[in-house]
Amino acid sequence: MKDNRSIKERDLGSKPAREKVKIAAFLCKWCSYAGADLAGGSRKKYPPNVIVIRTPCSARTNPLFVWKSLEKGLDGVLVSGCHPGECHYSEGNYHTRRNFAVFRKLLEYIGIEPERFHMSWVSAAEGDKWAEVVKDVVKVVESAGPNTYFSKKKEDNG
Amino acid sequence: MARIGVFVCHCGTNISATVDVKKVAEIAKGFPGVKFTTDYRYMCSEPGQDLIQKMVKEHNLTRIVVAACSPSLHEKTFRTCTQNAGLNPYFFEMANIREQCSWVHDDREEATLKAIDIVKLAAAKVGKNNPLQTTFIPVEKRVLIIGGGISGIQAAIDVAFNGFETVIVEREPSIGGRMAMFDKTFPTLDCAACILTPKMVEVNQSDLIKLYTYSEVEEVSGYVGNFKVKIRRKARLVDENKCNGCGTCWQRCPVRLPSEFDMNLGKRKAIYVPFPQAVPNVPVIDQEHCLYINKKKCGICKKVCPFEAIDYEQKDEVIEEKFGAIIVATGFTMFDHSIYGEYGYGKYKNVTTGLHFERMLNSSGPTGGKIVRPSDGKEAKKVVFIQCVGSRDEARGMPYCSRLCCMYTAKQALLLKEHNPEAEAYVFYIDIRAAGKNYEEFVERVQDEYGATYLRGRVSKIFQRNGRLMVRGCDTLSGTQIEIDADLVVLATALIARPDAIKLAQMLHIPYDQNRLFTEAHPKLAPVETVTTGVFLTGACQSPKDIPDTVATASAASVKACGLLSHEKLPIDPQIARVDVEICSGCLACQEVCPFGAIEKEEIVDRVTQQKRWVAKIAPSLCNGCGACNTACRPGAIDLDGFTEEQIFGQIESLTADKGDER
Amino acid sequence: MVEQLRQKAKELLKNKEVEVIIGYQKSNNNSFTTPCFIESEDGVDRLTWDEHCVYNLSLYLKEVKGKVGVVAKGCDVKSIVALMQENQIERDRVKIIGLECQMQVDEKGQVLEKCRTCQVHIPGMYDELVRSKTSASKIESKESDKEYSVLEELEAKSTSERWQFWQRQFEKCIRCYACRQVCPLCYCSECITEKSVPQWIFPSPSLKGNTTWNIVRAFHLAGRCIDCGECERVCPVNIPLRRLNKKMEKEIQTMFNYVPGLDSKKKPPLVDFRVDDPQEFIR
Repeated sequence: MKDNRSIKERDLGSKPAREKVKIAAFLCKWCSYAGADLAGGSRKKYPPNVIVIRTPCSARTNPLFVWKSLEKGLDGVLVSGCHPGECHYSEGNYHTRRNFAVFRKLLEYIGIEPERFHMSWVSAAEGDKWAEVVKDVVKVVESAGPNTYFSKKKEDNG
Repeated sequence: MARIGVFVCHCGTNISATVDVKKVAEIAKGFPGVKFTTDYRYMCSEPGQDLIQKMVKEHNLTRIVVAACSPSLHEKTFRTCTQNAGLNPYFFEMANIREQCSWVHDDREEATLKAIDIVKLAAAKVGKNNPLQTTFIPVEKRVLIIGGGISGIQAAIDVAFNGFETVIVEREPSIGGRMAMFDKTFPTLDCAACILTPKMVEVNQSDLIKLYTYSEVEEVSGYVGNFKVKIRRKARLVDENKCNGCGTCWQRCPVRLPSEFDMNLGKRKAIYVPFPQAVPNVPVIDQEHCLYINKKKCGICKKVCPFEAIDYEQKDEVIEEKFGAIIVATGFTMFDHSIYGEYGYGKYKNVTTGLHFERMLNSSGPTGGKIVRPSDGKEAKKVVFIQCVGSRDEARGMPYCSRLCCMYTAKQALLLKEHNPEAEAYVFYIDIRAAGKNYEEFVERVQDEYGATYLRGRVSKIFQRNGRLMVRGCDTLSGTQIEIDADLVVLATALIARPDAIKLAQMLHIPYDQNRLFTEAHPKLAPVETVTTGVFLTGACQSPKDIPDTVATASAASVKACGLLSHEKLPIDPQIARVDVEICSGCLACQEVCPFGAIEKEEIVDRVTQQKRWVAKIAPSLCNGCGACNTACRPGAIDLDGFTEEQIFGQIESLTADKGDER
Repeated sequence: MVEQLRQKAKELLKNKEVEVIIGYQKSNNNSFTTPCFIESEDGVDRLTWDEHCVYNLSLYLKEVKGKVGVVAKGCDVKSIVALMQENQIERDRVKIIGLECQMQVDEKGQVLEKCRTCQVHIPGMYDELVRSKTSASKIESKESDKEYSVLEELEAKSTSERWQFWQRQFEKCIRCYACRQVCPLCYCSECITEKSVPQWIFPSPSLKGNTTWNIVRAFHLAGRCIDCGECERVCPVNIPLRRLNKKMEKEIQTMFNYVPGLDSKKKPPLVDFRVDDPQEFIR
């Protein structure tokens, strides 16, 4: 069983450390990050598994950041930007869309479960959608279970 | 090595109720580079900020993390605070543990663990922040106002009063917008034209205000201080410089068409000004219906014009101008009630809307101020007003309250009685929303003094019986079913966003909500700003507003715009991209993806080979820091300050308690 | 053909249209070929052409300065096109001696996998063309519709089987970077793998680092690789790299209707976009 928390952090809780997926979310600061803020402002509840990395635009999110996150042991990655046509920088999200349309195919081909990578368009006004996306993504990543790609056991087998 | 200080905010109980802030501060002590941590009730307060500055000195801190609310709220506050503490303002990161943690999670333990992660992420990033210096760009001291209704007019007057040049782009042939169509205004019953016309004239006469009527914004590029805007000036076929508005042409034009301004209740010509007080007082030729344009016949207007102002050959013209700020004042349109079967699917001629009724009330309107039945032109004595048509109806209309229908319906009921004391006014309503200065009193007066009958309830059906309109509804207060045989039904249709609002929003890169209304930067604290710096909102394009609110937001937006323009130079975000020419291989993939044309190729002499080669060069004044080039760069020659590769890698790594080596 | 080739090369050198010609010459044991650089007219007799000329000589174009002639097969010309698209070579500096290509063979005399489905036996761009006696129609690929059949076996496997498969392959990688060195499009003077701050790829051989290196390599070539197959040929541990490149090629062709190396005026697909690009995978 894998737990990304340090021992000290795990001790914090009274409950035993359970299998909990951890997901990195790369959010455009103009739309999805603001949408996540709005979800907070309207007190929408969603699971705590997603930790946000703020980016100026979804186009800043190099597909290799997604790989890096998986390589380092995170269980899932979400990239979220503005709806097409609404990029603060005009076209950034179009590039993001192409990059990841290709990259996700590479991930799958190399043997990464498609359940681990997600993308969404969430605008600054879509707090509800953000909450729904998180709930959904967490559920799907949980179905794939913890990331064991490079865990010792597998390496020994390989 | 960076010495990081972490300050965890309670935000009263906003954070501390769900997140164990003391624990977060305690655990954060163990993060790499962290030398000091503490928690405090309100970090953004003055004592909170003083605490940061004091601790920086006491513990020799070089980097600051504040774990509190969203950076969109207080990043600026704490950057300034960091600077005041003697550090580079960019040696600061915000950990958003309120909007994205305490407010969205219930479980205290889970929320605390997540807050720890968020702080860890911020600490990992802040340690690798580069010191950045703000640079400045010159400001184009002109304001573009899109829309020439009361909102755009007021904004233009205010901007001009502050001494700045402004341009109004209005789609219609005249400025004036919806307000020009109204008869009187609530609750004071001022005549709309009497208070609007002087403002329109002021706009026309001001040296600082330029009017582009019958024109539309086509393209917006650039950024705050330096917007480049393409404006299409549609062909009027009338030379604005020659015409003096004498009116000979439209008096003689033989083509009679329904007048849009009069809600098709009256007529206009194929060459026309939409209404007598039009500004500019220059007609346009309706190319779709002009006999000369379509059949090469007639040509009367050209023959009779004493100034030779008619030019059938005139073409659309696209001009480009520069602006420092943009005010969006595009207003609203009316909800189409024909989707409501119970109101007759828009088929009954005598079922009209508030705007139709306004035109009838107006003494210079199509009926000369008489309230008539559109079906036969006979006087309407019994009028039923129905409120909330399309408003507060999530299923078929808009979920929101249109805010002014209660008031204008009351006004219209009153004016009906004033025009004809014998007339009867019935008002079907759900609730009366009359929150405004003297509004409630006004509605009371309409009922008590003018005897309008208010019925709380919905109309279930409008149908025809013996050639009369029958309105069937219920009065929920008395619990009775009511049938009224009406001469005229007036629907208070919802105010909605214009159909092409999205197109404009995309041009300006401003968000809009599910109802296509433009979204302000902050609903409370930045109500006329948008997330695009330099673009401001006023009037009903943001949400339904009555005239006082519209004028207030117009003045507010113009103050914001003038505030920007009062600076000789504007600071630009130093968080932009830079190229390491040693690594750049000159493939210029970056140039292909840059949306701002900020990247050019430059010839340099290679340090090692002494050979000439091409590399990418970024113009800092054009770069907006989106990072698309960064991602396109395969060898990693480009990096983006504020979001560097090293920082993002650090953030990713901080999330994984990676044991052992890299293998 | 060889005579024709030598004649054209001679003329180019004689007329001072080029300073050097990059071509193939027989290797010492006569059964293979190696690249050669010819700077004078009397050197052209070293030039040769046969089914063993498999190298992609466009690899040297960026390094050789001045006016240069290059002997190129249809597939090699595709990489020249790609290099032009990416500002690496100027068209007016390069004279392309295009060769109508037979099926090229590997050391064992087997026809190369890429040649079986090749559709550019006559190069798409050239300054001089040397035609084959065997008419083009005869050597026209019979299997051009099976271009991506090499992928089928792996695509049919489950995700975890694919993971196992690639992990076994990547495990072998010794990080010699031969695949990179031989690739005409891996022209960066400093590769991302050499970057230490931050470290994108752990530098010494390890399963994690090897996997990352191969993912990065495949992605950096996506939409650019013209399938010369050189990377796979030179790999000392026989990692089937072409199956990675080909997969990217297939997906990009399917999604964006783009084939690399055909049009130097087109934007490469990963720096381009269409407003209606596929996005069914986005929530």
